[in-house]
Amino acid sequence: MTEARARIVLGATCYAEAHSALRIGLRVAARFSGELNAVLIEEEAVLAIARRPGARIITPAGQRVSGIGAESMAAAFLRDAERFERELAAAASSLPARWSFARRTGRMAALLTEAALAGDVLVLGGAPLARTSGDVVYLAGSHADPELEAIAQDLAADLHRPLKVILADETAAAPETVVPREVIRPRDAEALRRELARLASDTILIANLANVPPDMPEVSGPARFTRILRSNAPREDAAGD
Amino acid sequence: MTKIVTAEPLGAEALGGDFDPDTLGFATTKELEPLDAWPGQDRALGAIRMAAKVPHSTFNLFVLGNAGSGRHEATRAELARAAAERDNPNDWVYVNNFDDPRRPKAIRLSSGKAEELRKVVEKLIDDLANDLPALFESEDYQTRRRSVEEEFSKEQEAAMTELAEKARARSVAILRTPMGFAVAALRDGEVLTPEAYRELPPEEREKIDEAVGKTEDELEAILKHVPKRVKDQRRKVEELNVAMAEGGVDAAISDAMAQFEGQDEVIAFFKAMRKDMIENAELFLIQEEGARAGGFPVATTKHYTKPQFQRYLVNVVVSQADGQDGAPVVVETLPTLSNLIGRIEYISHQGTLVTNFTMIRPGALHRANGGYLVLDARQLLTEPFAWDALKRCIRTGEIKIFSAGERLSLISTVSLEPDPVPLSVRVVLVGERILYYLLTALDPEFPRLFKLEADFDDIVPRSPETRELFARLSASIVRREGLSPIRADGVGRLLLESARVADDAERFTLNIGKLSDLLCEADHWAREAGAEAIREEDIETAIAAADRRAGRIRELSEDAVARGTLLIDMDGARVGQINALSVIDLGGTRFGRPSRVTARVRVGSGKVVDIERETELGGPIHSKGVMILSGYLAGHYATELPMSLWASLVFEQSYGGVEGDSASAAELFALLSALANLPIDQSFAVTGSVNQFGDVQAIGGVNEKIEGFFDTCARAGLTGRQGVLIPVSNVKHLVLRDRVVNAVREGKFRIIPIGTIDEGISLLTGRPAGDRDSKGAFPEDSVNGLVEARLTEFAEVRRRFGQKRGKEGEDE
Repeated sequence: MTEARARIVLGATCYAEAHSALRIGLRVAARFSGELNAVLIEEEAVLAIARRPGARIITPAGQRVSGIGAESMAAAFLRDAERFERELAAAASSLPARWSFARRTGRMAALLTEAALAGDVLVLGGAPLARTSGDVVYLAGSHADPELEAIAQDLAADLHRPLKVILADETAAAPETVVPREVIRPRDAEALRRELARLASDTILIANLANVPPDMPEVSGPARFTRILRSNAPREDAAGD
Repeated sequence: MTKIVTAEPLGAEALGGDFDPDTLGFATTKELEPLDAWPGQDRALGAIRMAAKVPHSTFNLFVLGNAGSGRHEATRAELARAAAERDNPNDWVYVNNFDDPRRPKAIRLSSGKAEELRKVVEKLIDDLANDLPALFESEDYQTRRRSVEEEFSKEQEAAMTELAEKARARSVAILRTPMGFAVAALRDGEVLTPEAYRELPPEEREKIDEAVGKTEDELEAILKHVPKRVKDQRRKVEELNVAMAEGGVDAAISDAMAQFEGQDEVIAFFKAMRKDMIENAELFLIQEEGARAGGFPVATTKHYTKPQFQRYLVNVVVSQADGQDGAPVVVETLPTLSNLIGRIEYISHQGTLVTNFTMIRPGALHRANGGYLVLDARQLLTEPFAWDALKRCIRTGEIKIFSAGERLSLISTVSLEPDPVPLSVRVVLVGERILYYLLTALDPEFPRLFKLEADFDDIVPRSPETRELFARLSASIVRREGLSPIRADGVGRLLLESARVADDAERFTLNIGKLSDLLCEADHWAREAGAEAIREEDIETAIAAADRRAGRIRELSEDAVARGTLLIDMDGARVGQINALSVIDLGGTRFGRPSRVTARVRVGSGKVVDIERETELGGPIHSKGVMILSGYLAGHYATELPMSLWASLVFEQSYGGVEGDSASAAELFALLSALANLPIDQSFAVTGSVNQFGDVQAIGGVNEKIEGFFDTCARAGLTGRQGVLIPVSNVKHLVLRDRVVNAVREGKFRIIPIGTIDEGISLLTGRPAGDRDSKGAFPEDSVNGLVEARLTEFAEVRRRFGQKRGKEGEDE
C-alpha cells in the first residue's frame, strides 16, 4: 500500500481571495505533491444580502453602490470563478499534480468541515486591501503537525516574512522544528481571538484544526487573511490503493 | 626570321610540333623553384599594387582576364602582400539603443577590443544576475521594505481592526463579495436573511439599519483612503528598489567602465546601460524554475544567455582575430545582397516575425572594412540588388543594412534601422573583359567608382626566358595540386600544347586553369603506368583522351563524308566547286571540317548572290567577305566594261548558320573557276579571307581546319596530292598534331601557304594566273585571261541584249 497523497483544497469566495489562495496553495502543493482541488464558494450569506431590497455594497475603492440585486451578484461570482479557473489552469500546468475546479453554492464553513473530515489541506484565501508584509503565523497546540510546521518554516523563508508562533492553549509549546521570531502565549481563548483579530490582512495563518479552540471565527469564518488548515483525520487514499 | 616561300608545301619542321627538351636543363620539375610570380603580367600586377595603396575611395579595381589566367590568385596574393603592411582595422559592435531600440548603435573599437567588450558585458550581466537577487533578498532590503509597507498599512490595518471590533459589537458582519464589501446584520452568528429581517419589529429593524448604515459609513471612509495609500506605498517601494539597484549596478559596472576608459562611445553605452539596468532591475530578479536544482551552481550559470538580458548584450560584428597582423583581404564567393552588406535576421514569435540588434549579421563589406574585398564580377552582377548596394556603399562611404524584402516592400513587420558603419575599403572585381567593357559602356557610375583596371594577358611570347618561367609555373601547379613532378620531355610536350591552346607557334598560354586540368589528367595516366613523373607520353595520352571524349560530333561529321551523305570530293577536279574549311566550336572542344562551296555564273547586272545571306543563314561578316570578293572582281577584270555578271555562291549541304570570312578566298576561287570554266583540283581544301586587292589574309582556327581536312582525307585514304592552302600569315600559328606532321613528313599530305589569289588559283587549276602585259592584257590561256574574256563576253551579250530590247521598244 502506498501512502495516500494529500489533496490541497483551495477555497475562496471571490477572486481577491482566490488569488491569495492560489499563490500560497501552489507552494503547498509543490511541497506535498498533492492534487489541487479549487472551489469557488458562492457564499449563501452574500447571496442573501444581494437579495435584500436596496442592497448595497462598498467597492474596495470606497464607492457605495446600491441596488445590486441577486442576478448581478451571481454574474460577478461567475466572472470570478472563470478567472480563478483560468489562472489555476495556467499555474498548474507547471506542476506534475492533477487539478480540478468547481463552483459551489453554500457556506465556507461546510467546505472546512468536509476538508477536515477528509484529512485534506485547506488553503483559504485572504483579501488584503493593499500589499503589506504580514507575518507567517503558526498556531501551535497540543497536537503536533510536523508537515504544517515545515510549511510554516518554508513559507516564512521563501516570502521573507517573520515567523510567529501563537500558542493556542496553556499546555502548548513552540515546536522544536521551527525557529520563530516571536512566540505569543495568550491568556485564554478570548485573548487568542483578539490576537488573531489583530493580525494584518496579509498574514498567513497555519493551523491544525485540532489546535483551534471552538467559536474562533477568525479561523473558521470569513477572515481577512489567508489560512492553511487541516485536521488530523485520516486521509482518503487519493491514489486508490 | 625565316622567309616563307609561298605556293610551295611547308616542311614538317614548319608545323610547330618540335621542341627539344634537353634545352630546358633539368630532369624533372622537382629540381625547379616554384614560381611565386605571374610571368608576363607586369602591367596587371602594377595596377593591383596601385589600387592597393591609393587611398581614394573611388580608385577601386576591375581585374580583367580569361578564366584560368591566374587573375584570382595573383590578385589575392598581391593584396595580401599590401594588406600585411597596413594597420589592423577597427573592430565594430552593435549595441542596443536604449532610447530607441529600432535604431541599434554601432560602436567602433580599436582592433581586438570587440571581443573584450563582449566578455566584459557578459560578466557584468552574470555578476548582476547573482548579486542583485541576493541584494533584494538580503535582510537589509527586506527590513527596509517591510518598514515602508508597514508605514502605510499600519494605520489602515488598525482602522480595519477597530471597525471589525465595532461591527462585532454592533452584531453586524463585514463580508467580502465579488463586487466589494457588504455589511449585514448578524443573528446568532449567522447573517440575517431578508425574510427574517422583514419579520422583525420596526424598531428592531431601525436599530439594525442604523448599525449597518454606521458601519458602512465608517467602512467607506476607511476604504476611500486605500488607493492613495497604495500609490504612496508603491512609490516609496520603487524608490527603495532604485536605491538598492543603483548600489548593486554601480558596484559592478564601475570596473567594466574602467577597462574602456577614454573610449567615449563605449563609456556612453555603459552609462545608458546603467540607467536601463536600474530602471529595469526586476529583470535580474526573475526566478528561473529549477535554478537551484540545476546541474551547476547558480554562480556558474551563463545568465547572459537568458532572454531578459539580451537587451544588454554586445553583438560583435567585426573582430580582428588574435594574432592577425595587417588589413583583411576578404574574398566573398557568394556576393548576395545580404552576404555583401549584412542582414537582419528574424525569429518567429507567436506567429509574428521579430528581431533585435543581436540579430544583425555582418556582410563581407563589414569584414573587409579597412582592407580589401575581392568579388567575382559575374556573380555580383547576377545577384539581385547586390551591384546596386555595392555602388551605394562605395559612393556614400558607409554600410547601410537593408534587405531585398524591404526594398520591394514585401516585409510588413517591425524592422531595425541600425546605425550605418563608415566604410573604407578597396573593392576589387575580377571578371571577364566583356563585363568590363559592358559596364563601362552601360553603367555611368562604373567608371567613376572603378577607376583602375588590371588586364591579365595569359598569352606570352615564346623565348628561352619565358620557357623557363613556364617550367617553373608547371612545377608550381603540380606541387599545389599534389601531382607527380613533370619530366623535361613532359614539360616540352606541355609547352607545345600550351602553344596550341594559344593558337600560335610563337607564343604560349599561361592559362593555369587549362594547364592544371591537363596535368591532373596526365598525372592519372602516369600513375596508371607506374611512372614516378609525368612524361611526354602521359601528356599525349591525356590530350588524346580528352579529344576522344569530346569527339562524338566530330566523328559523326567524318562518318557523313565517308558514307557519302555529305558530298566532299577529295580527288579529281570540277568547275565552280571547292573545299572550304570551317570550325565547329562546341564550348569545351572545337574541330575543323570541310564544306563544299560552289559557284554558278551567267550574264547579269553585276550581282553576286550570296545564297547564305538570301536565306538568312549567313552572318554579317560572311556577307562582308562576299561583298569584298565582288569588289575584287570589279576592280581586277574588264574595268572599262560594265560588270555584267550574275553569280551565286553557296555552302552546299549547310543547314546551320555560316559566319566569318575565312571562306571568302575559297568562294572567290570557286567563282573564278566558274568564270574561267577551269576545274579546281578537289585534292585541296582552302582557308583564308581575301581583300579587294586579292591578298589572302589570316584566319582563326587554322590548326583545327587543317586537321579536319586531314582526318577526312585520311579516313578515305591519303593520296599524297591532298593538302590545304592556308594564308601565309597563318604559318606562324601552326601547331599541328603529330599525325598531320608525320603525314607531311612522309609526303602524304601538303600544307601550302599562299599570299595572293593568283597563287592560289594557279595551284588549284594547275594553270598560271597570268599577269597583265604592257598593253594591259592578261595572257589568253591564263586563268585571269579566261576570266576577263568571259566577263567581256557577258558584257557584250548584255549590250546586245540591251540594243535588241531597245529596238523592240521602238517597233512597238
